[in-house]
Amino acid sequence: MTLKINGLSSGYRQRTVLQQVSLPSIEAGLLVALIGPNGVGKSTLVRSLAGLQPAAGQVQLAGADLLKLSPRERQHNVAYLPQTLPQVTSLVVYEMLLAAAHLGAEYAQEQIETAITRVAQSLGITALMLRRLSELSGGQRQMVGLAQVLVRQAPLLLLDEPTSALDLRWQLNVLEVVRRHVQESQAIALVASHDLNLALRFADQVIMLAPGGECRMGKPLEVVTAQSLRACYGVEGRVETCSQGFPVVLVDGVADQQRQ
Amino acid sequence: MMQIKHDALARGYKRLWWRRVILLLVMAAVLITSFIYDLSVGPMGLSWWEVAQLASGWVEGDAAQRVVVMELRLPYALMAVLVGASLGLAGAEMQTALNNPLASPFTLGIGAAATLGASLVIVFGPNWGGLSQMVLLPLAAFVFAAASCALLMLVGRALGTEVHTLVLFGIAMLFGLNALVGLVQFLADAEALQQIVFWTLGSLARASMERVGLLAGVLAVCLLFALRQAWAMTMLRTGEDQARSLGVPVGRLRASVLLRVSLLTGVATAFVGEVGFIGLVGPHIARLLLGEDHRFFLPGSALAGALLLSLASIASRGLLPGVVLPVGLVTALVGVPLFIGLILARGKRAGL
Repeated sequence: MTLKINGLSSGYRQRTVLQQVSLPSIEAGLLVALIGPNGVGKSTLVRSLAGLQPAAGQVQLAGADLLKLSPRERQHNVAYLPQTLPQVTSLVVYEMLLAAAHLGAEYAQEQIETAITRVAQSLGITALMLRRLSELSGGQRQMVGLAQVLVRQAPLLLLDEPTSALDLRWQLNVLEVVRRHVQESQAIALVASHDLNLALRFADQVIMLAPGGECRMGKPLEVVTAQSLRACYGVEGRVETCSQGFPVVLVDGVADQQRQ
Repeated sequence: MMQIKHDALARGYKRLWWRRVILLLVMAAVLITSFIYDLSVGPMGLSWWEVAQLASGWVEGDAAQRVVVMELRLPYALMAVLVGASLGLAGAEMQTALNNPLASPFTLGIGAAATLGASLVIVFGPNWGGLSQMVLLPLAAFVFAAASCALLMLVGRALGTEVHTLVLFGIAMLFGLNALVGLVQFLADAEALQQIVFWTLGSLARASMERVGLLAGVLAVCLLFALRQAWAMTMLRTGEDQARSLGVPVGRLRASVLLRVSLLTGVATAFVGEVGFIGLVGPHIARLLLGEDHRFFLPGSALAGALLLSLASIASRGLLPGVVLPVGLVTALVGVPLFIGLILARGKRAGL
């Protein structure tokens, strides 16, 4: 299975955000980070693949064109995690996963319990499962949203800022779980993120969207470089290797306006 | 070790599931008790046990008792249960579909539309088309309620997904319709004015077995279709984007909810007049007790609404000896303390 985006355009009524985005094909089993500055279209790209926003172009997933599938057909292929989950609901976490499993996956009745338990254990949220969503913190809600995505067993995971509300330990934990899930079930995860260090550490491939519609995809260290940081984010920065051997981005300051 | 933990979670949820089923059964049992007690209230001095025997056909009883219980009180009490259940269900569906805890048939103008239809018939059209007011009045109330729902639906379609705007539109519609009702009242003579006021207070006195049967049919069909969309509505409570990405056709779901709401509210209001409060509070009570898994929440809201109106029906005849108060008035008098008590008892867990 591969994901191939070809000539994807999308936007809002007045404004085109993505224009003719084409990317090399993405293989199954990969975690792909989607990075770029604010407003460049990370969320738009993710949302248009999820069918939440009208888009033109071609998105081939395992031979089918995602953009042409009906909502019902699409939901078997794509699982989407929005940036935030609603705070005001008396739903119990377990019920949220039940609803997602009933609507979004083809489990036999007796498999549902096992699947939910497995996802809860892998994310380490077993203790939250019988509590109401409204009692949970922002980070915990984000974990619950991710659990809803994982329980659906879709081949393409679209995660919009899945770590934005999480503390340091949970950031690592969540991306580790997503990476393992993707490898084990030969799925593809597209993760929009602002955190370049997490992207460098966990992503197999990085897509960098730059203002002006340019986009690059490749190995993390090929895409995130001093030049691309300057061109894309407008900062002077370096990519160095820390004492543990992980690449890290260090930002020295805002780039000189003339050189941009 | 893993296996033990696994079973613990599934068992924990099973317990929660059973608790909800039992709560539903308890609500049903309380409702039946209240219904039988409702049958026994009155100047005949029958005990609830005698009434239960009469109604179930175990005991023949004398003719006068049978007539009073079976032909006067039974439709009255059944109507209270069915209207309450209809409004509770309609309110629950609206609150979910419009993502607003203040949504209900009466806060968004559907009840006011029914009142406008009824007042127009009372003031201007006692003999339209040779139909008697007995038929014309509920018909007009239903048509106006359905029309206001259709208007909400059309506006919803034009606005796309902006659901808060839809709620604002409903509230604007409420004020507009109330002004029109006021205008009709202003033009009405004293007798018609009194009739309109009685209508807006809500009364079960217009109940009959045919009407009970019709409303029961509408309620059964609506509940069936609502339960078929229970998972989709549960999903909608976790966010509109989440639901849409799961293939839930949110726009179509909203349209079908409004269609059911117009049927439930239109028919119920046509027969008993305005009975506000229940469509708003019934769902909140169900939410406090059962949470928002719509497999439990929808029937729970119907049961809570039915119980509220049944209690109100008892109170409407029991509060002042010899006087039958309008049931629409009593719902608030009975319901508000009950509701506040529940909120206080559950504290912040309400999630309202």
